[in-house]
Amino acid sequence: MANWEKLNKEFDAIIDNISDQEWKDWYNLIEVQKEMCQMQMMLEAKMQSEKIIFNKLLGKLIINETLKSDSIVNFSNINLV
Amino acid sequence: MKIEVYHTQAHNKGILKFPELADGEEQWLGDGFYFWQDYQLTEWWGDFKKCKNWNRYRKYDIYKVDLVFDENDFIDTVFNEQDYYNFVGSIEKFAKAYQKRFKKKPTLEEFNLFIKKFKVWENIKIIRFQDVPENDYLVEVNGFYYKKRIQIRVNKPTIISNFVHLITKDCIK
Repeated sequence: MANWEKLNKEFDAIIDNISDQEWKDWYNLIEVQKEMCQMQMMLEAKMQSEKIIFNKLLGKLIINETLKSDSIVNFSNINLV
Repeated sequence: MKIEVYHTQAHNKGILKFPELADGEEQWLGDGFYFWQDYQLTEWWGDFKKCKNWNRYRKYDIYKVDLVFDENDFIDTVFNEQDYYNFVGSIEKFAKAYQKRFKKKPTLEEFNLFIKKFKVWENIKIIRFQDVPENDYLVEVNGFYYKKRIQIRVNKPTIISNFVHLITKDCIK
């Protein structure tokens, strides 16, 4: 669960003290800010996507290497009763 | 903490490797990665929203997604009473201050851009919310919306730990 004591403190500190000029600047630059946020998220998404693909390949490689290994008992040499 | 959710997109770009970033103008809380919690609603969303005329393949895809995150980074406005009332309180406080300056109501996207710009709630990576029901046969019985239309919005893609294509479906219309 979110820590609301912290979140409310952070939020109130800004909303109660923001100047008229800061409001105006924020509002005027809203489209630029939106674009920057999008770019940042897309970049993070690209990196995370590569990470997921890498982890899947690594997982497959580990399984293949494990199955090849002589030290592992595979199904063909288990005597089922 | 780990939750399994679903994502659907038109087949126009083929099978995706990662969820699509949704544009904030049409979304509940601004730009982000949006997911459904229930599979049934994911299918309905595919048929309803992803099968418009622009979908030239007349197909859509459903993906299963694992989200892994710390519970402190999660605001759950659907099932957690404290999260819900605190979240509503923050939105209303923002709306009041915004209206005082600009003499109009803000959008939730503006709220989201505000908290980003002033670096508040930076640790929050995921919000669970209840979407507005439409005339949807899956959640309504005789005018009574008995089922929640739960959506998940992720703003930090690093918590998307797995993304698997489940099925490609034909548009029904």
